Amino acid sequence: MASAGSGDEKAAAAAMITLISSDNEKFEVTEATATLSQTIRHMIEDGCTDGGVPLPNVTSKILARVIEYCKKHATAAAGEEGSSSSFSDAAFLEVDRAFLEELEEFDDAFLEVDRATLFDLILAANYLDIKGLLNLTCQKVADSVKGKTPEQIREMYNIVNDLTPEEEAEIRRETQWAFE
Amino acid sequence: MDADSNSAGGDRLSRLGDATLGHILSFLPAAEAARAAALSRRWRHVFPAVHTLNFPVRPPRLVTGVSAALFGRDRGPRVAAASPLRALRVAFDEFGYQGGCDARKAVDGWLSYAAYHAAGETLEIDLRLDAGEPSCKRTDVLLPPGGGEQEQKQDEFGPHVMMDTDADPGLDGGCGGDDDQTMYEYYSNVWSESPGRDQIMGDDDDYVEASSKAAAAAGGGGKPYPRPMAGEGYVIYVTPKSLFTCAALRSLRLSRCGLDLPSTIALPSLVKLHLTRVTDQSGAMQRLVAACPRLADLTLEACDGVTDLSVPGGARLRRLALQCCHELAAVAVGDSSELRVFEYHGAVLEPEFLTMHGPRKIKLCTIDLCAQELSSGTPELDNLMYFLQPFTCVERLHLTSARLGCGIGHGAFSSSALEFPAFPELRNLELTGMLPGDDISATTAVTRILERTPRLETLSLFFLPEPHPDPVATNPYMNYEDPYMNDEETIHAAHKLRYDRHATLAVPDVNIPCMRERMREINLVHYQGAMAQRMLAKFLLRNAPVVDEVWCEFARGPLSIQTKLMGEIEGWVLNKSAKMTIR
Repeated sequence: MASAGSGDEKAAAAAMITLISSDNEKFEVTEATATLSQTIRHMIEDGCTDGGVPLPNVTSKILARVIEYCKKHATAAAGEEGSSSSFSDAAFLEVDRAFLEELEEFDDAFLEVDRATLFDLILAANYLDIKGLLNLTCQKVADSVKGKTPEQIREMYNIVNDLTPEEEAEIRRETQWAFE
Repeated sequence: MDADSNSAGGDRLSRLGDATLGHILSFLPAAEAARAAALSRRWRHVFPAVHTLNFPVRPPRLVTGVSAALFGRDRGPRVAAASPLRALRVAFDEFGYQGGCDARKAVDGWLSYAAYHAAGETLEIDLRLDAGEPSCKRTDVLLPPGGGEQEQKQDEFGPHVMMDTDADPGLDGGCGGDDDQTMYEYYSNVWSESPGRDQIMGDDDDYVEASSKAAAAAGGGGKPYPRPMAGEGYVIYVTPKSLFTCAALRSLRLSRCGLDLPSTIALPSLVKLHLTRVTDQSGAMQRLVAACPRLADLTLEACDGVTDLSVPGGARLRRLALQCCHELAAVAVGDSSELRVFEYHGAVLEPEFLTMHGPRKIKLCTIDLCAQELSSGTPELDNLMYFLQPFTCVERLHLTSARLGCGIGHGAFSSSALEFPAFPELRNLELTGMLPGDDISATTAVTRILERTPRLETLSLFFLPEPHPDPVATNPYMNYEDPYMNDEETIHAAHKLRYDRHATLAVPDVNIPCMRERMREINLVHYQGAMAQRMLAKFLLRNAPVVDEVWCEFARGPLSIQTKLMGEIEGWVLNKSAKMTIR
């Protein structure tokens, strides 16, 4: 499981970061991979990553997935060397459409997880502040409720309707524009 | 996904924080996001955390809805923790009829709200007042053989269309119906006569008058709209000046809006600018572009009145798209070192059209030639060859023209001193256009191109359907492509597939390096099987031994013909283990 540090990163061995999951598993990753997380980026900037970065909110199972995502997308971010802005518009990536397609395929496969894992990934992306991963996972949830009635959404996500009829009427009144 | 993990975890969705729930709802249309309040108490006050408000085309009562949604962000016990607004995207099918004074004031209000409630450098504003209108209506007409006499220019027939309904547009503020299409045409005329904001704003009577006349004209049915007289002011919405001093604005897209720029423009964060049908007056466009030091992505689409444009050296443009700005004659890019994507849609240009200062590193170039066909020996074809020169560094080239291959295969081209420029880095080439059954010059055209692209790996050919011949020949208005009139369902009721089993397909054996050694993928889209297309397909496949992927998508037609064409193509492919996708 903890194979994240092996492989093709020898070239960039100069800057390795150790991430420690809540269940004390250690993951070695390149700085380029780790800094997709704004949280870790700030820690590196503050010089407090010696001896590893403890991530008490993230289990080894989820951290491995998160690192898998970051590795893939770090190569995408590094593709445009020396560009001044970190512009993530797909239009620019379109230059290399094969890679863009590969990335999309990766993302689709990455999202093939059960719902519990999806929520764990959302929480991890939020905590680690990984914008792309948060967008990807939140979009997945959004897509699943799109076009559904409140009743269908409640059923899908086990949401208990605790609104009184009066409250429901009030909400309808307040947001009448949205129900037209 | 699986029921166990869901029920075991209970309602994990509702346990996410407000910011995360707001983020999730931001991917939905605003009305759906607002309706989430009715899920449970937990959700009741989440709406202020929604940072992106999407109003796609055609919800009823759009003006009221947007205003109510913005108001909804400022209501409830958790307003203090509201997310800063990141994006406001509103697309009207057609704003004209709704655009009474109140509606215009409401839009002013949204823009001020957005500017005020944004944070950092993240705000995106996307305001399209004519989203129902197609971006360009090109005339895809092949000239008759040997003829350049049928000179047709987009502008001549552009504003006129044939009415296909007894439309009664009405003034009830509805979001438009099937008559939208034609009404846009009407407005596209009047707009150019529109004066400045003050004059427009003050005069609602003119608006009603113009609309009534439009309605009257529409009632006539079967006649083209008359070109309105000068002075019939259509009320165009003009954005407030404060929009152009919004420090948080990162992305701005405006469609069919008037620009009213303040004396000092300050858009320090603007990275992306997309203007559609924004008519330039007294150099406003130039002033705007010059005032965006971080501009990286610029699209100008059907912007009349822009004759020349200079992007200052401070901004490092990464993408430049110029679409149907037919008056644009000169563009200068001050610093082209990061320019990677260039898109152009318009007539063939003078070679001096584009000036780039700095290294040329464009990777993707899309050239879509509007309307008239290039014929051999004309200056247009010469000009096209010159025009392509700055883009010879690209890795991907998409070239669209009325005739597939731009007529490069015609004899005169080879005898002239010109030839297709060399593209030493080109990996991926897409050619789009019509290829009539008798046009055997296409093979020559493609040969001439491929001889100049030594590293080409993927070749894609998109065969456009030919327009119905009769109306084109008899009625100059009819050849104007209108989605309703040129709808394949109605006009091309007959299928497009052809197969003549007696035809002899004599194709030359050639020795083109990229075909022999590098070509891995050949794609044929909307393949109709007429002579010229079969010859071209055979020519390509028989001369490309290392192809390992072939994609062919047929035009609609009977299965029996498809089967024959399919068998033929499979027979041509040299590498029998290549991956074939034929459908």
